[in-house]
Amino acid sequence: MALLEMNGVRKRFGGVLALDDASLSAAGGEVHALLGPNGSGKSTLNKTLTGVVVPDRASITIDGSPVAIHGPRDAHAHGVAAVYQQLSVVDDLTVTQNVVLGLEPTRRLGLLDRRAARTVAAEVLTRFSPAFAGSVPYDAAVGALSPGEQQIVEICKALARRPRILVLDEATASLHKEQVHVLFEVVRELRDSGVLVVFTSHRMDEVFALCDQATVLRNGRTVGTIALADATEDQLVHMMVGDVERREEARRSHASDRTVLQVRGLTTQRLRDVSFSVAQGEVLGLGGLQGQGQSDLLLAMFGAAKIHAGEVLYDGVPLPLTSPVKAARAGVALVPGDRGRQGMFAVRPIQENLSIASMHRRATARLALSQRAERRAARGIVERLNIVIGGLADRISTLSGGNQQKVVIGKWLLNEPRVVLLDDPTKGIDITAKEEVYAIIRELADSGAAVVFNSSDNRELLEMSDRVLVLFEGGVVDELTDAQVTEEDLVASALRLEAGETL
Amino acid sequence: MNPAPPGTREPAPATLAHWWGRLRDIQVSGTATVAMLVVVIAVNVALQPNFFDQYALTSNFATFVPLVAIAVGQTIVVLSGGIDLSLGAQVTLASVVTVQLTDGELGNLPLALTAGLGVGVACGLFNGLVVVVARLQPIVATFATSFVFSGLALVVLPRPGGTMPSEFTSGYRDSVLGVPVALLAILAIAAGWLLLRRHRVTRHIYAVGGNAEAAFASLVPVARTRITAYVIAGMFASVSAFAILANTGAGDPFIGNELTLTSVAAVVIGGTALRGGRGGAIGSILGAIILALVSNIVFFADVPSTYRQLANGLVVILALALAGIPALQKRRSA
Amino acid sequence: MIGSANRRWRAAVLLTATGLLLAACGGDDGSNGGNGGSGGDGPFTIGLSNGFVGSEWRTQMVDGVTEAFEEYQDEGVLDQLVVESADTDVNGQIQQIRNLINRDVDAIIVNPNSETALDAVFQEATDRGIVVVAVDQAVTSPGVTNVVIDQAEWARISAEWLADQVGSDGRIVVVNGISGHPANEMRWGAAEEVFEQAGVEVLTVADGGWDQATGQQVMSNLLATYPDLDGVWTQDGMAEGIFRAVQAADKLDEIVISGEARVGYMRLWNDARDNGFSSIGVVNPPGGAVSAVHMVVNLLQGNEFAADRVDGNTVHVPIPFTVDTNNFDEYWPDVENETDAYVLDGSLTKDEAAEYFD
Repeated sequence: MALLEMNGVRKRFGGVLALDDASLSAAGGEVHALLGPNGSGKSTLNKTLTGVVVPDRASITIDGSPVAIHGPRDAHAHGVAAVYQQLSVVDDLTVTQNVVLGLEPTRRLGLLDRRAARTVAAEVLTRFSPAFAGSVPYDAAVGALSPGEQQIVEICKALARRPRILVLDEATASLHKEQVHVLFEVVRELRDSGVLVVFTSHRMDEVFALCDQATVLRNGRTVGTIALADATEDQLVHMMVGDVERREEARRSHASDRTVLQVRGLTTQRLRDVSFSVAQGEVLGLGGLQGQGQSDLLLAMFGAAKIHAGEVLYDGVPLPLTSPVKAARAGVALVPGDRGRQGMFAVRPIQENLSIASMHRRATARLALSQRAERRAARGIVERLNIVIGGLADRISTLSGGNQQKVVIGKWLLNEPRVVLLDDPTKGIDITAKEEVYAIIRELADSGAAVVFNSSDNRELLEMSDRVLVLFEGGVVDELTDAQVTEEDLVASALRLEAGETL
Repeated sequence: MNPAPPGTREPAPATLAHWWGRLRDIQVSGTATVAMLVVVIAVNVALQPNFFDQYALTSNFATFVPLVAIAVGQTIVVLSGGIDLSLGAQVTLASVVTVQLTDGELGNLPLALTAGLGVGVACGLFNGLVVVVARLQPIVATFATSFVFSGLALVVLPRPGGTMPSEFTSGYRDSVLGVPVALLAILAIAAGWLLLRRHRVTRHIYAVGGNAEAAFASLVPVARTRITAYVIAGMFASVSAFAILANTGAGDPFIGNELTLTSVAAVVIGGTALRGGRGGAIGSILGAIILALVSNIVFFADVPSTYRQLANGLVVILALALAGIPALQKRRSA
Repeated sequence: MIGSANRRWRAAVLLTATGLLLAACGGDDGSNGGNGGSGGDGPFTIGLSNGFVGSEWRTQMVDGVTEAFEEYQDEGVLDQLVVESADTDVNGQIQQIRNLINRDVDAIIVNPNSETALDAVFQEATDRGIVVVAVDQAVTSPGVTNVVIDQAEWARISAEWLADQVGSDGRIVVVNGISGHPANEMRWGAAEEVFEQAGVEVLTVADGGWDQATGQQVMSNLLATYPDLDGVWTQDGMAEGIFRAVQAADKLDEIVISGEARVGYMRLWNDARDNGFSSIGVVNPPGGAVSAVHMVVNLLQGNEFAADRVDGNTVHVPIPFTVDTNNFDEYWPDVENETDAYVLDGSLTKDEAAEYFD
């Protein structure tokens, strides 16, 4: 009998339906992989189980009896513990304190029992001592540990809760190979003792090495569950992508042969030796699983990340990438993915939001601004991009998501950029607005800009891009051109199925 | 989601919020606090030859206690990620309630002190509920409740009056085996904190202040912990009120209000970051003593009275500026 | 990090605590710094504790004390004046007084921030033989002598004048200082009684915080609420603001204002006199502290108050004078070049002060 049954799970975030009738059935004593392309709803399903996300509708049974999970405490009560890539450790507390956090053993009157805490921590941590280079730093603040060590603490915290169901959501992302080894040993022991481990990883080799079953999600729905021992890579990819018609529309190659933008050996904290070039008028797509360095690459090209090595040349001249201001002056524009935080001043008028990046162009003697010139420039852009607004003096926060995004793009058009970087520009906006944004991107390319375009939506990426670079863990692992630019190729490449590293 | 990697600069321009964030990050190292204390004591001794006389010591410690108590309370709220701008008003309210109920009679004292403590608990609970349930910014919410509490104080005791029994005031100025009672009170407050530190709720307060989301995911009852922090702070405000009553021997409906900001200064000088989760109350105790001694120094240094307030302020700013020097800050984790 | 920080803290605290403990135990017991208080032969040191700054009144008070001290210093009677003057609360003032005690002063003149809450620290001072005199605001501490004007009398003078002006059944509003403040209560208690007996109808009582701007705002509101007023009774520090509010409402000819003896108000009064405006200003003298210096010297020299001059622990110094329409020209020319905040002043002379003693 299945230990865990999740059926009809539905969750809407604003305008996005993250889960639509998703299901998962898994037995105790197995390691069950949860697979799916970007935005398929793996994380949301995990979080539904662990109580971090409360679904709009779901029926969950554990051990045959229906359960309601309204928060982490409920999940804990039903024996569910979770490890996320995004850590839930408190930097200022020690390793031991973090492991027992929320379940501190106490003596009379609620006074902490340090010895018992240490015992609990030692029980789970000792197992991982190879991952800490031999000695476990019980009393070190977690904030002082390396990311991999912090991840181990996070894992131990989950293990200390003695779960019947353990969710590992990208828990291996920041681990070294040796650490992964130890973790896998522990996971196998847990499996053998009857625990269900739900495992999500972008590293397919890990999935094949560790998991027994895999459930595949696509667009928030469960496609099916297969035993991994029998599954081929093609089968998996097909499940993830589904039956899609080959794109017939001829890719417009307006791109000239003249290479204008060259990225050479770009390395930052998150990027490894990234090199590529973009021709004038070309749209270069950035693909792969989410969070593999696409946004980091765009930020670095905009001067917003510390560059350890490498350079970016435009027409053979290095771009100044020490600050966004300098990059913008040199003709680089970034339309960020996180509009609210990075792209706009929500409570300021539309006028100001449009003017801000390019004011220096219209300023007399670099100082004096003419209200009229500012308004004229803004009005021009509003018409050109077909932005639906009440008045230029309205706050930008009064606009719909699509129109907000057009204001953010318009801001940079006013600055007449030579290089346009777009970081998931259509995230969270409606279909009509999306089409308009696509049109603007084409127009930008046609007018001779070099466009680099990151998208979490594979179809959009395929439709818009002349070429697609596939990133994995901060490096370029593949380049898809012409005939290769298909969704299956993209997914397969993103999952690195043919080039799987062995553990 | 693709969280911005650490080390990248945000493309957005620096905002006020960003600078407030920086300010909140400032944390003085324990060494710096102790160094400041040593310097302040040394200078005070140099300027005041009778610093170690019985009266000078006793009166100094008597002066420290109210500030020490309220600073410990403030520390606990700050550690939980909040701030309590109503603590001074709570001191006022607790003190007037206590003095009214005591009515000069020693026999009424136990009841009155219990009621005073109850006032602190009630005020703290009220603050906690306003902050947690109504989800108001602590700085705004407690600023608002401070008017409620000081308004209530005026209702309880419309004009200065009431007396505390002389046993209470003289006992406070007494010594036990040569050790001033006020010093014992400070040691008791410190011991109370050290005990509290070993309590589960304090661990949760650190966790919530350090990373509320992580604490929530780790099954820490975040809301309850926040409220508890305000309640404990309210209890320390009551202790502060008792010390003030021992100092003054009478009630005054405006007495505690100015302690609030000094308590925040003591917390910062004592090495607790205003962002929460880091630091501890022992530092705040030393911070409170430093602040009190600084105003002594300014007096004994014969700074002309017109400049005294300025000098006082400058010394406090200097202390806070020292806190901003990276070398003196507690090493932050990567 | 908490662990290691904790250890460091403990060491530091232990060190500090031990140091202070040793010091506390080792200190020589109960040494009395003052040279004996009354009956000594000087020269003496006196301290002044003032817990509120930023008003001209307090500045005049401190200046007056300083001048009086300098005279005595020249005579060799006093040798040091320690001034503690800062904006602070009761706790801060307790610390001020403790500092003065630690400075070994022989006498303390205090303008107290609280009527009662300094009692215990005054006790500390008097226990050590220090003469303590309170000015401006009387305190309850029996060991302290209050040298103050009679606030009730001060209020009564202007209240009686106003009652006379508006007549029985006159309708007035009152703008007080701060409710709960002892001086305010004493003044209003006396004035209320006057109005009651005269049959004057007090429509409402509001607080102006002894601040001109607040007073002006409060009065503007009152004028809007009560269109039909005959007069307004107020205290010092607010009359100028109240005058401006009434002036703005163009009602100077309808509403009688009880004023104050300050240059700013008198300037307005002077300008309005031609239009028949009439007012009153009872002096609340900062120089009361100067009178207190004289008395302190007498006490230090071993003299005792004459029994008929003391009421409980209070010695009332006379209100120097009252400015009204009739005598306005006597005082105005002398002060018209002073700043607006200047308060008309007066104090006892040395000889007058000596009459208070046996």
